Amino acid sequence: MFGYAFKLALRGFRRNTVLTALMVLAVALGIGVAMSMFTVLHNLDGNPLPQRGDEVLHPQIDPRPADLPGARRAPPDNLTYIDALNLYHLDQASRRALMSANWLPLRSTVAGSPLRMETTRATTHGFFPMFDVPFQYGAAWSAQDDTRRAQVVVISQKLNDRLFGGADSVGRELIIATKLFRIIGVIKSWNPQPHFWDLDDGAYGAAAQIYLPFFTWLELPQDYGYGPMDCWGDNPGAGNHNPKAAQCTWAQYWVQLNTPAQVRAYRDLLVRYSQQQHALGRFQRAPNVRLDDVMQWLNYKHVVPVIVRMQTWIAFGVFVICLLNAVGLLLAKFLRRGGEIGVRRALGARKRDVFAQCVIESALIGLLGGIVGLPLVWLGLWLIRQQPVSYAATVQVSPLLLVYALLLAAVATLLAGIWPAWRAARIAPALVVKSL
Amino acid sequence: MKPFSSLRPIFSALRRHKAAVTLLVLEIALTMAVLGNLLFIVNASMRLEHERTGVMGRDIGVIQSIGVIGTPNPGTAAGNIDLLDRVPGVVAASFGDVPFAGASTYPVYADPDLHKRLAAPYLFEGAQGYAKTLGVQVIAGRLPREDELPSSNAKIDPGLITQALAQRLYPQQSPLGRMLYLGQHGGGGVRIVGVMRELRGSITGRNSDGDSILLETRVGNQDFGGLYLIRSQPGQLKRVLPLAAKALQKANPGHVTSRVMTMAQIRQMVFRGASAINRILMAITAILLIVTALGVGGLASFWVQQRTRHIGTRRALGATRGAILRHFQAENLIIVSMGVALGAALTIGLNVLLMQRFAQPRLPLQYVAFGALAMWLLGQLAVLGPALRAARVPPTTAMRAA
Repeated sequence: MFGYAFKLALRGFRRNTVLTALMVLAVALGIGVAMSMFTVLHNLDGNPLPQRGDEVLHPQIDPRPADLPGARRAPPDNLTYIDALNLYHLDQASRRALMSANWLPLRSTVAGSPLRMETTRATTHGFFPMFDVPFQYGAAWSAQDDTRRAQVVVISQKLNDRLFGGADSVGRELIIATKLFRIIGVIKSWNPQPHFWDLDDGAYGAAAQIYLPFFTWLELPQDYGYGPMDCWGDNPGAGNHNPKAAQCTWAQYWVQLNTPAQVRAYRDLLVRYSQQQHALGRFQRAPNVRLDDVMQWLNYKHVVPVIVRMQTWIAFGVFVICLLNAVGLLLAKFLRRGGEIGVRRALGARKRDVFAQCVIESALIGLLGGIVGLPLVWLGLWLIRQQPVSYAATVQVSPLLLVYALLLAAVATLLAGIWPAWRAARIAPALVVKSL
Repeated sequence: MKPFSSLRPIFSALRRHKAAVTLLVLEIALTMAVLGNLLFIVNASMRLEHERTGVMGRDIGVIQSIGVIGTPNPGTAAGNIDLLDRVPGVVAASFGDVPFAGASTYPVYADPDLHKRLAAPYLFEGAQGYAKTLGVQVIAGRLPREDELPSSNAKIDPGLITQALAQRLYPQQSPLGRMLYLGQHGGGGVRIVGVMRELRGSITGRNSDGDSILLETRVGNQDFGGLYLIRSQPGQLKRVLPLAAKALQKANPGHVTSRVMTMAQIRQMVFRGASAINRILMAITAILLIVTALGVGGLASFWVQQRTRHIGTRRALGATRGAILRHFQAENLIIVSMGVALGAALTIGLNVLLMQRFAQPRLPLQYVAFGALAMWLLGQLAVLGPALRAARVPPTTAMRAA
């Protein structure tokens, strides 16, 4: 039965090549547009830490004064210097990373070598295991390195390639902000997108070139900014040269909590800390805490650009228009074959057979459209990757998405074919055969 | 020639294809809705790309020279400005913020105790020669005089505000001589000495983009790292900027030159994401139009095939080729017009949806009109091929087929 329908479908294509080609092309273009945009959205929407995204959490507390006109209800994203220190020392048990970012002047120890500003992440030892940072050479620094303000540095593969030609540079030295640092690790290219741990400079972009122990970094002779500095009150510039300003938040903090019980306990700890600070007179507001895991945090921060969501909606709208187009053309195609259908019905084919035949033909057109559309999806994504948008370079095609594209094309066109097929099945054999 | 008598066969034909006609009308309406809204989004974003900042951007270049703390450096801020001033081809040089880079918003108050908050304009702070380097246009009052420039921790600074901010703060009154108070430097005051035509800190499309205050402060022998600015003679920037950057680095061995950019490059960098998105949206629009044209043309060509015998009969009964051509064109016009009527409503409906879901602004009605025109044109173009084919059907077809 299916084989026969298939054969008839192919015959039908040949009879009406132009109309069939038009339909295939329309479905292909629709699939090309919709799936390219969907792939972009899917890439931007993904979990950047799939192995433990729900165990890595971002604590927030609210140290702002009670009376702050125009302030949002949600607590600030980052911590003040004093809260960062307090929270970091309060919870010794869990894996945690205190951090911030800026750029620092760096040069090699070779005399006369040029100074360059390099993007820097200052963090604590928990950063590397918590975020599964892979190492090419060497390893991360230790808890002791953090406490004794060791002058050690982990560098990116890219910087290692540039300065040392990709050789194992562990043990060699660099001059960072006029101080001598020993390289203890080189990380492999690592840059999950969106880089959830720091959304300050956009959610999609390059990773830092050097990683320094947080407390060592804080004590460097420096005035190169302190990451996402944000100060409330009259003077938004209060923290520009002073990271310890009480009214400025900038320290980013992440903790790893492995069980729901630990998460609950940590949330309680944040509330207790807020109450305690309130009692001490430092905090004015009632405890206002947040503790988001990676995906919650990304949703809360709306990292996916609105325009990308809108683009995807519009692209699917275009696909729907393509399908509407297909319905019209399928209707024309089936009704045009009224004579053939009438003869088949007169020879004993049931309505159901005609219906199935037409639906199969539609699905086949959809599948063909999907097949033609796949290179278009690929082309569309290639074009998008060429665009100078921060997220574009990281957009990748996954084989699974291509399978989805094919399925979507076939199923959607099949659905589009149902109504025309039903109309075709209703053709009264007697009338048609008489008019032949 | 009675134009309306020729409409009768069209309507009787359309009545026989109710289903297909309905689909076509729907398709055209949806295409029009998407087209109008996409064009509106793209056009709004392109208009921002061409919004002026109020500085002489074409001739301004920025040198980001970062002082390495802890490294001895012979250069001084005042010395560096003088040095840049003397580079051949430089008209003016200074140190300070530029639109898109450095200028950020600060709350300003009506009173020195910072109780009555007035606005949060962009604060452009720079050294001597700053206003001249930016090339802002003064439309009332004057620039601060050389001798009244304060040092960095003065209590009262002479400053300029933009016309937009002046109209907001002092409607129908002269802003000259009035005082504003800033939260920074412990409530420093600004005495307004001049009004600038325009100066935008960034371009987001909001009215507050153009609320700006410009302050000049005298810098002396301090060693300053940050944004040094030059304005070149018209059209000379490409040649002059590298020379200036080199001279500055040579005089400041304790600095790192990190970025040397023209204002045009900064602007391009700011907008490159938006223009990429515009390209993507335009590509979607083009594909949409292609698909709809395929649908209209495909169905028309199917109808022509189906009605070959009728066409032959009409031709045999004396209809001219032109009449047949016009029949299909008029048919298309009627279908598209129905689509346009529905499409106008859908365009506005989609806009309302986008306003709610994606905080888009309201769509002006010109886009509906433009969408309608585009649909009529698209329909006529798509139908032209099949209609010409129909016109070529010989009258003898009627006899042969019967």
